[in-house]
Amino acid sequence: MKEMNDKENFNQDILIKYLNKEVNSGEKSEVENWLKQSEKNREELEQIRQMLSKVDDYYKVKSFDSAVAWHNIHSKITAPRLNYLEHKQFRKEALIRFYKYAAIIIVAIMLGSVGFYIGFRNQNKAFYSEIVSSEKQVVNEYVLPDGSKVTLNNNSELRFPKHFKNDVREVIVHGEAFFDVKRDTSSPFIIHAGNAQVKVLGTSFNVCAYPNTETVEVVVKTGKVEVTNVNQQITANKNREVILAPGEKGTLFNSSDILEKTTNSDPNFMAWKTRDLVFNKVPLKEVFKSLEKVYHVEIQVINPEINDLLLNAQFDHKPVEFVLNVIQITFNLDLAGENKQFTISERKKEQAKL
Amino acid sequence: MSQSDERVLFENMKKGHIKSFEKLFHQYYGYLCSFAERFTNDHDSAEEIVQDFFVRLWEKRLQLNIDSSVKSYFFRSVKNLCLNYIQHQKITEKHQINLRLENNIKETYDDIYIESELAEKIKKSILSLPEKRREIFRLSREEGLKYRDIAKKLNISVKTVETQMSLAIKSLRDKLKDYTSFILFF
Repeated sequence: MKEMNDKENFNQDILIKYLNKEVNSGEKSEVENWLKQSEKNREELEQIRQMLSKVDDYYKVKSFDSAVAWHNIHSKITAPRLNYLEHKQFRKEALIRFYKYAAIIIVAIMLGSVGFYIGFRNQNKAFYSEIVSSEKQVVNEYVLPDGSKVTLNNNSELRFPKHFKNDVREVIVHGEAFFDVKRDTSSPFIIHAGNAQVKVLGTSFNVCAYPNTETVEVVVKTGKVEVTNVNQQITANKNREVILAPGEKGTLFNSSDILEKTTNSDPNFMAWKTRDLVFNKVPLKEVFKSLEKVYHVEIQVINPEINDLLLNAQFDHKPVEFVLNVIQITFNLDLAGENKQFTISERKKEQAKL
Repeated sequence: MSQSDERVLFENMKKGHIKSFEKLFHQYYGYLCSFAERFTNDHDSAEEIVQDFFVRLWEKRLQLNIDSSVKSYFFRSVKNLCLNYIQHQKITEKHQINLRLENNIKETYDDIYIESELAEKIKKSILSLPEKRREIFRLSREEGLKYRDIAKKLNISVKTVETQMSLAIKSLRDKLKDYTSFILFF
């Protein structure tokens, strides 16, 4: 019996070599003879071949990164909206060049480059500069022409004039950014973020306005910030604007046009910038949500009961693998994954014994 | 995603709902690119063509009326763009090869299955392989390296590569068993 099993396995090993075109002539005829023996054998080979071709398709499809491509597409289909700040100067050629640059940024990002700065330096007609962050990198503390500093979260863009006007400093943000605005009472700093307009005199705060998300969120660290809903159709019972103090959060819901002010309850709102995370009896479900946002990873939980476990922990500038390892050890879980995809499951009993 | 789900996304997209557009995009991007690559024989131009297609799709969404399924509309459009692209290629020799290719893969989009469930299952099965085995398997299937080159690259023996490949394929077969019989029906 054992011999027969061995024989089958032996056949399979050679079959696999055969499929991978790694057999020598002796093995080749061995396989071909075996194939001649029965329909069942041929079916066996065909099955493995089919399976491998599906796996190959999977690798092939995966080799086209739709997240990077989406970023590219998105910037193309939304780019003309920029016009509203300075239509006259933003000529069509500049837009076309912008597309070209967008493509170059993305390629560079795929090569693992850090954040990018693109200035239209040699294009006298183009008025704007922009910084764009990639899928995987934040742009840290970029200094704007007025001395204000901005940090861009992943997949975000900031556009600003090469020279600010004398009486106002206007920028446009798509995505998430942390601003440290240089104080200048004669020239307010205005951020256009989706339907929200954020106005400040000098302060630091976080704006989260990813396109396609339901909300624009502004959280203030220091100073005072005014958030205005720029959408025209506003009824009397809805806020047109709110003034935020440190520790407060303004949320504009795009679908309902509601603008509200709350106390910021998320101690980790800046974690994408600082990578400092605090969890105070937080269910793992929430923890994973934070980790996904901060590290731009995907965490899949196999057993739903894991979600309810409570975590008490603090992490200072640790890589996501470290954080997940701590969670794994703390709750005796199984962790698998590579790159930015992780799977967490309950540890199987027999494995736990080992 | 079912055909009617896609139809809903498509209709929402026409109304300007960018999120529906994005969903369709992510669902199809990889498949359309690998389809386009069969025409262009080039990874980058395949991506360029498909991205172009999606940008045009968005810009022309208001004028769009499709009678077929979203899937066959997408594949048909990308195919036409690929043929245009080939026509613009000046090199005759390349042209010839591609024309032959065109005949071979005519209408094949009808046989392309967007099997996200299967893809998910394959991904999980690959992830469940031990790290080293997974890497050997990947080098062989994704990068198409010969056993000898894999052995050299990882500083292991060819025999080890053989064994690991065998184990990897056995484990994948086992995990995808429910699907392989399914696959055979296509």
